Amino acid sequence: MKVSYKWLQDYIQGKLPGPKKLAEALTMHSFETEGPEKVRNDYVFDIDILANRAHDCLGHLGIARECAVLFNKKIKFPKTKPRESRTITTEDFVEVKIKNTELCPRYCARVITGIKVGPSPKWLKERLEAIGQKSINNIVDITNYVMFETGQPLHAFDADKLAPAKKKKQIIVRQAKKGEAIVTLDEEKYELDSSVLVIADSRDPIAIAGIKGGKKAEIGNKTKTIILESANFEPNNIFKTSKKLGLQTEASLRFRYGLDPNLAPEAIDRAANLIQKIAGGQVTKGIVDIYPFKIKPWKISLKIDKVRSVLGVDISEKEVVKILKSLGMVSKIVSPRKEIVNLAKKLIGKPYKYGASTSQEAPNLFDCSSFTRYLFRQIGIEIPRMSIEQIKVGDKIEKEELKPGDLVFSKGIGTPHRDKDFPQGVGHVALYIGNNKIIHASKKKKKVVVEDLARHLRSSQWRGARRIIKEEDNILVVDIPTRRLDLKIPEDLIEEIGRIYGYEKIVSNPPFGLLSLPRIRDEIKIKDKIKSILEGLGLTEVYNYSFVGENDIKKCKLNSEKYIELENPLSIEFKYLRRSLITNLLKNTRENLKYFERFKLFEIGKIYLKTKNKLEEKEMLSGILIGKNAQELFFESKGLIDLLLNKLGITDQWYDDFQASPEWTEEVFWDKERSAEIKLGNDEIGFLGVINPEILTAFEIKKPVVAFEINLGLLIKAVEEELIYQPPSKYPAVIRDISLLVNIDDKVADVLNIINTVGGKIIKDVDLFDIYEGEEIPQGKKSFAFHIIYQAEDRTLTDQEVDAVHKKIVQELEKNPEWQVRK
Amino acid sequence: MELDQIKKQAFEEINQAKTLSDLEQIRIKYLGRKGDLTKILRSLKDLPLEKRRKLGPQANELKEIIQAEIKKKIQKLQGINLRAQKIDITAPGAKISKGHLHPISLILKRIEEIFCSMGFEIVEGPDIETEYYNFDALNIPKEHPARDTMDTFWLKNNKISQRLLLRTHTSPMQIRYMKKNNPPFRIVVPGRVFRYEATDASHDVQFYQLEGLMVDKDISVANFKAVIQEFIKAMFSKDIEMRIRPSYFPFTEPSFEVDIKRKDSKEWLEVAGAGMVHPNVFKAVGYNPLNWQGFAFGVGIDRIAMIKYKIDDIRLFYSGDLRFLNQF
Repeated sequence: MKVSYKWLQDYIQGKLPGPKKLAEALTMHSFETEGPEKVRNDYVFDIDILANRAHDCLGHLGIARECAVLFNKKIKFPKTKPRESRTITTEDFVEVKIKNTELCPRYCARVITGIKVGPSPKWLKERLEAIGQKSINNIVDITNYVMFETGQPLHAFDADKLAPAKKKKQIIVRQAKKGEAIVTLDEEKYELDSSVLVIADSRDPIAIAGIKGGKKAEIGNKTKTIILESANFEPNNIFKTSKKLGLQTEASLRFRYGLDPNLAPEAIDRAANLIQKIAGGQVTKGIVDIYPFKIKPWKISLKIDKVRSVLGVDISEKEVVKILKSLGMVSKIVSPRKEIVNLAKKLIGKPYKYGASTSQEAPNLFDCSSFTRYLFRQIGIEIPRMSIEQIKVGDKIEKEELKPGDLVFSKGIGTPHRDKDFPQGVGHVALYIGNNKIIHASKKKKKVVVEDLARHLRSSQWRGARRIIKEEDNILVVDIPTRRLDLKIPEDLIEEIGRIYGYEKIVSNPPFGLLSLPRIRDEIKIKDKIKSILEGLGLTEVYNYSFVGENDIKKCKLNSEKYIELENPLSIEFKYLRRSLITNLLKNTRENLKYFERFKLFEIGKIYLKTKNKLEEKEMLSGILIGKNAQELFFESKGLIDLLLNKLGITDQWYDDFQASPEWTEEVFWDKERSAEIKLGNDEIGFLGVINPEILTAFEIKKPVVAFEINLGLLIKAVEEELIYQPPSKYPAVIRDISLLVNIDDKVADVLNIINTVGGKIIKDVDLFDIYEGEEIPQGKKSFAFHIIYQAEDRTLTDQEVDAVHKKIVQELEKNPEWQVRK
Repeated sequence: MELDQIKKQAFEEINQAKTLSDLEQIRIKYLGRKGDLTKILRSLKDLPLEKRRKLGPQANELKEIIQAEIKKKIQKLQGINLRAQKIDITAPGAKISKGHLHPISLILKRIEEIFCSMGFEIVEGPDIETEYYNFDALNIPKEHPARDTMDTFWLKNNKISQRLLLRTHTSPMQIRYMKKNNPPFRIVVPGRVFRYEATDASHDVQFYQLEGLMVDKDISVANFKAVIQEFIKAMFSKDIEMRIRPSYFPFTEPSFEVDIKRKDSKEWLEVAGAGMVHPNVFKAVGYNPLNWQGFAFGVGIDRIAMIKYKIDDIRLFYSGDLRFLNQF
């Protein structure tokens, strides 16, 4: 919101600090403030009002209140009351009907006759222009001015343009009828329906409630009599209508966040006063004010210890009280039990009314449970309305344990309320005040009375007692003005105290507490390792969007039906969630080929799959290699994967012919004759292959491309299995060598197999250290030389033991007539 | 020609030879198929036995001597060549192809290290979320104004009962984690988040966030300040200033914003939103708000990377452009 420095100064007694200092203080304690920017002879700030303060700070007065708190100044309220006519009353002139009070909790109307519409005075024009508002005429400008002052939107209707009525003009707040339409002040026509709340005369809508006025009752140069509106509308409906009609205004913005209904009469008086001053005319007597459900100030109880503990500062009670007072909140420190008993005593004699409303009729009328509810509200504690509900809150106590301030429940007179927890019924509640006495709103006595508990129980059976006040310590009971709709719970007050005290003044304090070891989960460690291995192998990491477009899917010859679709895509390029990382890697390839001839990319990211009844996310690792020759790229890529897996401790990978796709990827980008499945044991973990040339053509890629895609979850699982730690043996190892003459075509794996099988557990490792063929070796033969490392986990191996096994290995190897162990 | 004469002449010529091709000529002249010494060796078979016995070994010996002499001279000449081939050490090195990690990966790794050193556990959560975890459980009911400020990508799904979306923040993991674990704990959650909004140099449809959450008996704003200060200090140099100012989030109370500024700059940059966990959030996960206190924060990782590497357009991160990526 744009805020004028001079305008703020109007409401402050004494002088505000310089605009720069003001902006800094507001940023640190209230709202982020940009500026000041010099506009003519004024400074203007752009203040980012937080959503929870929109209801009291979307006006200069609200910001001035903040300034006054921050710089210890007093507020100078503008004079608001108009001089009213003694003869004509507003009621004689206009009648207001609200059809739906949920959507319109309050409607205030005033009438001003004999005004003269004209241009605004210079000061008013300048004020509005400074904050970027256009001046229209004196009446409209004043309603806007008061809105930018108080935050309460106002509207003025030309009374003579309303439908003629027999006795008085009618203002009806109702939902629009199907087929109704309105032309607004800016000449736009809107079709309406029953979701839209309108202000109507006896025939037509004359305004979209809380959003924009209609053309029909527009203020013109000839307007003589106006009806001023200052109303309160339900926020969500305003928001929905505003969204539906695509119409956001300064008024709708304010109503959308909710406003204090008690602001309405103040603002209408202020506007009437200004109109009288500037445009002349006579203000009729009184406000027509429809306000069926009144909002009254409420209380919050606060523990100073909680304030200290949450903020982490040693703030004094005195300072807390001072900050709250500066914010317009009176607070007092009370002993909760004493306080509630004293409050109750003051209400002795108040008349009984069954079903009396706690918020509307207290403290003048009570029934038993509205009486106790009211009392607890006075110390900032909220309890349910009915006695059968009140018996379920707080701690259960016995009759012997009763202390002043506890609640006593009984059957009551007549039929009590019953439910499954209290089948015998609870119909009455009273406040225990000590000395075996209670205070309660008695149906029998028809008023609030003090009574002896035992005597009371003779006519009303005992049902139990509850302790609501758990604190024996003093608490701070804070009165909340109705303009602070945002303050509901103690934490809300702690925020107020914290920000005014200043977060910059809070000294940082490293948290104690659990001494847990830093934990990086294997999964993250492995991912980091994979990235650094691939980086080392010359691949560059990319991060792509999680989205793909219809076109990309077509280019890959895939079916978009399998893709998860966005309900509200930002563009057709971002319509679906990717099912493979390769699609976007191909786009990267096309773009990078403009500048580079050969490159290798990889990405680790999620893909999103749709199965019959659920959506699934899988993390994948994909790479893409671009170069001159497809076959070379294929083998480079295969070598890369081998190296990656080996570095991760995996050695059992192999490559199988490309077969039908598994469930987790049906995306076939590969040329089937030139691609492979990557397998660990029996498990398929991914694919590798030359990208289908037709797809490459579709992506306008003129070089061969090889890509791989690996299911990262499966890979990580395999790595975690490999990573199980084996402690080194505490016992010494014995090394024996074997040199074996075999046929030139024989495989190392076959020899190793025999050694390991015969040796069993005591063979720690077998190292092939030499393969030799040539001189001194017969034609058609070669020689293998192995170190065999013998070691046990649980004992020192004896020479005899090793010799025996070694001998057995030799014998077993020599069973093959073509093999000869060289001695 | 006599053997002695051949020897003398050959040695003289070898000695004077300047190049490898001179030596080759000499070799051909004496040892080639029609060479002088070869001729003698060939003629041996026509000589009488006695003479043959005397001359044969002498001729063969001379052949070896000349060969050896030529070899020696070749080595000498090559030695001269080697010494002559000086290296211009100012010439550029060979181009070795090198890989690069994405700047966000670099930042994420650093963040993991920093928070692990402070005893935080790293957990991750799903990109696709339900309305409940992303909003309701975080004290953002249906009609809450905060819902329209977090422009959401909704997913089309006819068969699934809950309305699904792409998470707009990493905060849903607060709920998921707290529902499964009991305090005290401290966690961080890095992850990709999505916003339905027009893109420009500082906004993109996806970006990375780091959620932090610490809950114990009496965790305070002062504790949060210590943790976030430590993080900023470790992430950037000491030339960074930090400030905390009021803010508003439905799931924290009090709420604040963390800004940082380079000492040589005038501009404060927003890097994190934070606050003390709202009692309603504790209630949603089944904790008693009277027993627990905690702080939560969300750091914009792209923002941190942009500040750290002085990157001026967030969209570069997701461009896949090697001209950008090769710089990291």
